[in-house]
Amino acid sequence: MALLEIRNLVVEFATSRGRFRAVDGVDMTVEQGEILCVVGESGSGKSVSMLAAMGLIPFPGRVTADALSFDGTDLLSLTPRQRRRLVGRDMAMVFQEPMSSLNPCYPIGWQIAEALRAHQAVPRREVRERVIELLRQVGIPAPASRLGAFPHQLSGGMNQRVMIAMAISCNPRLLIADEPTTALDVTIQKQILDLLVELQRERGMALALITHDMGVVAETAHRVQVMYAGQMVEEQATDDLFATPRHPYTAALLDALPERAMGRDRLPTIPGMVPGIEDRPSGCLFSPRCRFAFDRCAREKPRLVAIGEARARCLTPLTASGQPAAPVPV
Amino acid sequence: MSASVSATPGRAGALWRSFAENRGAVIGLGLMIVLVVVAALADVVAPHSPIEQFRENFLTPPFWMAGGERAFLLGTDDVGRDMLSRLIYGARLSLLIGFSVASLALVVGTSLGLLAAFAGGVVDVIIMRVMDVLLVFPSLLLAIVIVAILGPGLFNAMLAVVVVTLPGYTRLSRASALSELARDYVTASRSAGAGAVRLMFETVLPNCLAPLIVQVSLGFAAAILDAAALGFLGLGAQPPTPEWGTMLAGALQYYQRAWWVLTFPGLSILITVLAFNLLGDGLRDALDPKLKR
Amino acid sequence: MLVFLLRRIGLIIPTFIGVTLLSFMLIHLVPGDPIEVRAGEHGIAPERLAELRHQFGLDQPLWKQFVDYEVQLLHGDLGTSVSTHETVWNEFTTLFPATLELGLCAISFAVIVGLPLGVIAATRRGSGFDYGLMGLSVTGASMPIFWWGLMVILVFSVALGWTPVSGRISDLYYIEPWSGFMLIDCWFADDAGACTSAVSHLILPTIVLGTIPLATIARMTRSAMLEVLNEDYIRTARAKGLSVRRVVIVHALRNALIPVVTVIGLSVSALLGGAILTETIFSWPGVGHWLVESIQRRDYPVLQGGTLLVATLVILVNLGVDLTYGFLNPRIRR
Repeated sequence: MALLEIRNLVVEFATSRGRFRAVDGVDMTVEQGEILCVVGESGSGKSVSMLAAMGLIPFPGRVTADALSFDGTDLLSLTPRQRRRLVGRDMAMVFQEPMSSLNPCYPIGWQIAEALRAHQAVPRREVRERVIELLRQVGIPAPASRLGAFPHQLSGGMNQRVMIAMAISCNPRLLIADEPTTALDVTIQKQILDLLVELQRERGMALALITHDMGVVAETAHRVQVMYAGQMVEEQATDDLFATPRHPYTAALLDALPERAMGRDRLPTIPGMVPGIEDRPSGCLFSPRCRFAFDRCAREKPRLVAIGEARARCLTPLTASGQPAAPVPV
Repeated sequence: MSASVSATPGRAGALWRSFAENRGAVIGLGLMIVLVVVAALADVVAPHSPIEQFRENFLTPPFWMAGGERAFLLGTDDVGRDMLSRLIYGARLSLLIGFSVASLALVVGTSLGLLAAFAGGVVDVIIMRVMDVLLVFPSLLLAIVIVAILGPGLFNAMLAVVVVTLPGYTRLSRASALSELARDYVTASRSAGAGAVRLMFETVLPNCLAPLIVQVSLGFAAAILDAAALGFLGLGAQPPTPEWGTMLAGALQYYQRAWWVLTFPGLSILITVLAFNLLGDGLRDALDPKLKR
Repeated sequence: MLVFLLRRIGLIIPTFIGVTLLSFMLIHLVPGDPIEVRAGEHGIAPERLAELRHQFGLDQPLWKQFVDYEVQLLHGDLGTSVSTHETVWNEFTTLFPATLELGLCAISFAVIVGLPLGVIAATRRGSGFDYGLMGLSVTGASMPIFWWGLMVILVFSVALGWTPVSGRISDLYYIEPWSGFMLIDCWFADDAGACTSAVSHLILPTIVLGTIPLATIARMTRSAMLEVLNEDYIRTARAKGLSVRRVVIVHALRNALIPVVTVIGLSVSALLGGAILTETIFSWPGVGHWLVESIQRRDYPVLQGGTLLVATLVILVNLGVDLTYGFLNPRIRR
């Protein structure tokens, strides 16, 4: 049974210009102990889907889904109090901006201890030891001396480690990391990613890593999901995805990687822009930008179809040769 | 194939839209318009002269009470002057006060602030220090002190209120100008040879306008309140001038016998100040992009 | 932290000197010669005038007079009242506790009522409660205090008879002024009747004086909370599975308090201004009333000394606010 199961998730925001679907019918599963990467451009809805799973969608947003369950428990039917017992303990999340994601008024030791004590009855004397141990596990040198440090006194990388320590403090089964390294220096990025992978392996927890960096995906993920304009457009095992992308968008993303463009004189790009609130096509959302689009694409909304081990949301998913297959019957 | 470009609304249109979303702001604007119209047409609208005393009718109640008369809709004061007429002319006076004080303070304060920002160095320090000193005093107290020096009267009271509200404009324009000065387009303009004064007024000032506009609207409200407070203390407009605060001062002793002499002038002050505060808040919300939902 | 304190104090000194300069100029700008002013309405013969001018150093150049004035201030001499012949300092210290008591009650009222209202409005953003509170706040901030006081007296004292009209305590009681705070003195005098009387005299002035700070605090709290609630660290706190109450009070409020405390501190200046009007209306025997009367009596030494003292008080409070701000916001401590 999947650890996290999401089916037909829709997250809508009421704006002054109408209802905006940040997430438009996403299906997603995370299996126990695996590393899943969710890739997509800004605005693809990758962060919002995970926030919805955690119950963190802010005020004007509405979350609906056919299924949204964690370890068999239906998240949608939980009372807020029951939800809070799961969140932070069995499901934890780490965010993108470490410098602004920690409360500037309290020392980091206090903030980690708060995470511990929110879900576990830890005797006062032990708390300090547990926090020091957590700091050591995330690779912060001289942890005992850092307990009283304030977030603004630490670097971005250190703050991110503190956030990870907070997230793993209650031994979650699933850790969601929303672009944890985007705001950090390149040298630190690798360290944080290595830390996450190592923690995942040691603790056997599932890791859902949201990123827009295909390099990261190649190195860390077991499985990949590609999102576009609020929908999931492809899902495959990592090696297979890089070898045979099934959706034209994925193929275009891979083509745009500098490493793959060797030998060409121009770096391929994807023309056009992600549809916003005003210009959503009535058929396939990617069709205006897709080089394989044909007449049905602009009219019909494609469903997820299975091709081998993969799933793709396309009327003519790509074959192993990179060309579109015969159109899916209407 | 480019994605369709949606028509972006014109800037003025967008401003009006966000302004209009705010119900309070629209109410404020409406009230202000009513007040301006009433004040402008005071000679036509008011049933009587504001200073004419009707010796038969001292302290007549409003028309809906026993003893009231239709001729004097809101009653009369202790020397028989019609309340409604005095209130209407008082509106004209208050709007004039607000306008004069706010514009004078705006001009002087903004010039000082811009001067401080552009000249920098000693000039900047002196100007800001003076403003600091002015800000230390509670505004009413400072106004009282200034009136004590100059002598009571409406003009002096207005001058006092100008001095008291000056630091707000100075600080605001200086801060705006300093942040604009750091921008590239100013350096470009300078290297093209633009002189300091021209730079100040033609290039930098238009970009500082938004917070200043908000400040003016709120300053209008504050000016009317402060002038009324001075009037109430006997230091502002002197009787028989129909200034709302002065009217209240004269009415103190009648608070038990004739509540209308007290209630209506104060209510007028409240409504007018409320209108400008709502307007100022609405402008601030509309002009400040950070607060857009 | 000590360096922070010393630096802040250093910044104040020029402002303080500026304030004394303004105060010094007051006597010299007032129409009439300073000696004639001090002589009051009795008038004075020309030879005596010249003699006194020399005696008081008024024929010295202005800058020297200013220096002498500063020295005089440093010795604690703020002048003498023309009407009561008491020193300004004595009169001030006698009357200040009344204003202080009223001011403290007013600000406490404003904070105790305004802070929670602002927090609730922020958490229920867009609701009827929110709009209602905002409407009331703007109205409260637009009210002329003197009128509001009169209306309140009309309704509660005259029409309903619930509260007295003026003064600090009923004439029936005499309480030994030990601390100057009527509430404390009544407590120590152990007189229940006097205590009730003192409280009932305090209620209306407190509400009237506290209305504008209440409106300001409610609005500031609401907007500060709204901003803070949008911050990333609040999302992190919620992701930890903390209860809504804990997120709002421990995480959000702590950060929102920083601008709110600054506003509270800075509204002391406005409070003193409001006290002038409130004390006049309620015949409250405090500093505000004293200053207003000094103008009507042309008691310029009182106006000069009193204004200087009030300004000094504001400077000290602003310093306190700065220090509290440094304490609350770890980011600027060093």
